[in-house]
Amino acid sequence: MCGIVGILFRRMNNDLGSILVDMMKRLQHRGKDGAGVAIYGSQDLDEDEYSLKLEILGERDDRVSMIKEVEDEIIKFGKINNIDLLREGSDFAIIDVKVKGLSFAQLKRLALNLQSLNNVSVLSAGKFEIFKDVGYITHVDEAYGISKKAGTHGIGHIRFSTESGVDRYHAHPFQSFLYPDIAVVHNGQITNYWNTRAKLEAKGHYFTTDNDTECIVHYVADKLLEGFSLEEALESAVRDLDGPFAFIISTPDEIGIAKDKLGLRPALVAEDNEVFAISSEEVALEPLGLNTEYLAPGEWRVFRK
Amino acid sequence: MEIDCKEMTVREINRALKEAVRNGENKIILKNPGAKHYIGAGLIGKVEIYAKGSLGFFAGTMFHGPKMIIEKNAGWFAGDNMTDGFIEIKGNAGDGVGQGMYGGTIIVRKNAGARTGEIMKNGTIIIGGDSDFMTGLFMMGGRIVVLGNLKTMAGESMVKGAIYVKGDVTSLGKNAKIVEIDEEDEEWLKEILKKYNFPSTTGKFRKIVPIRKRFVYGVSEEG
Repeated sequence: MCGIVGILFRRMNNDLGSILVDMMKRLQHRGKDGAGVAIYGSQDLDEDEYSLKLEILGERDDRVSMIKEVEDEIIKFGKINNIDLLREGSDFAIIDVKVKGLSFAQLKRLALNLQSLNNVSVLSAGKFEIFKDVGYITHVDEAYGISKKAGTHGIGHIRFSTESGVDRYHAHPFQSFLYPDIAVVHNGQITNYWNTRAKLEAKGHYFTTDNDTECIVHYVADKLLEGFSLEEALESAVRDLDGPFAFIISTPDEIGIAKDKLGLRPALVAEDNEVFAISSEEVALEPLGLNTEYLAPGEWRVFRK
Repeated sequence: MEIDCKEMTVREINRALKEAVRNGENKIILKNPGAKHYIGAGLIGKVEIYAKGSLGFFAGTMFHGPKMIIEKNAGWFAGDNMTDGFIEIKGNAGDGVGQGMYGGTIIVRKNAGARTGEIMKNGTIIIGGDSDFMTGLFMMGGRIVVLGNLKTMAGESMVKGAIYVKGDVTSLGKNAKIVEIDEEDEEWLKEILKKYNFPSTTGKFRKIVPIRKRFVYGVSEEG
């Protein structure tokens, strides 16, 4: 089933995180397998500075040596500014590494190299932040402090898993390492996943999971890299992707929503001069007090800051 | 009586509604309904409910008798499987308004989503604005009236019933055809639109009906 939300403010908003979390709490009934957000504008980074959120699996002693390996890889590309431990359990740790002195092209290489290390997963790499984990949004918020984040826009996902594993790695949002700071959350199934994936892999897109949602972000990233606008990318996504879906795409300046041709997954939008919001259900948009509008089958919308 | 839904779960709201009906209440105001789902599910009896805001999915599902006025919008599947009663949605409605309904009346003052009246067997649905994609999908009976436009594949695979439309029809679904309305239709439309305070019926309605009653079997029903 899954619940998806997105919100974009025209200006920086100190309450972005708490608004996003509240919207997601209101959709908690749509799934209990995981929750995640992508937030933009929450970090004060230099132009050549990026944030990497990494999951390190293994016992504590093993993790220490893994982190050393991660650091060795990172310093091949840039300087480590800071490492924060975001979350730790008996068999995992989530770290946030700020890396400076590299380009986005180098970040892409670094992310792929880190991804290839055993027991290391890149949960997000870029100027934005992705926080995602198993469980309810309340727990994920407690673990990562999402509701304290300021920012301009963000997307969120409440997961009801259908086709792929239940772990933080398979939770949404998903990103592409080829296009900067793009993320997707999705409610539905992409039934021509394997064909779509094969075409995208042939063009050099790197899949980190077997989750069907991930192919959407690579599909859209591919279109943007070819020079199409987000509007054009969504228009062709509605045409090319099969199955029931409603998905939200976020980029550094935009949020877009697309719905399948048969209209089998719900999505509403609401907007005024200051804010634009999307949700699977009106219940998440209630606190904004705006008029809502259902998207028609096959419809897509894009909103910019 | 009033029920403030703000801090209540769906189950608590529905239990409170059932108890109120058992106690003989005939008018209930739902304050802060907050677009919650399943409000009024399976409610039986002659009671008037006024929801002071939006309701979520399955508003008034399986109603048998109640009258419910929703001041703002309703989510997907309003009046799903209702057998008798009345639902009025003053704003927009999501997909599947009145899906599988057996009887009663549903009114949407603004627009409705896709698949309005899907597999409905009887009863009446009136949409004040547009009705989206596949209105009357697999329709088996009853009447849908659309004062605005009908989007693509209207009447898809319908086998019985009728869709009356005043605006444009983007395209028809399989087994659906457009015919002129007759005097009886005109009389009924005039009466029902007046009864529910819709603007006067200037402009001609057309009617979408099934081409054949059992088209999927390739068997002629005629003769």
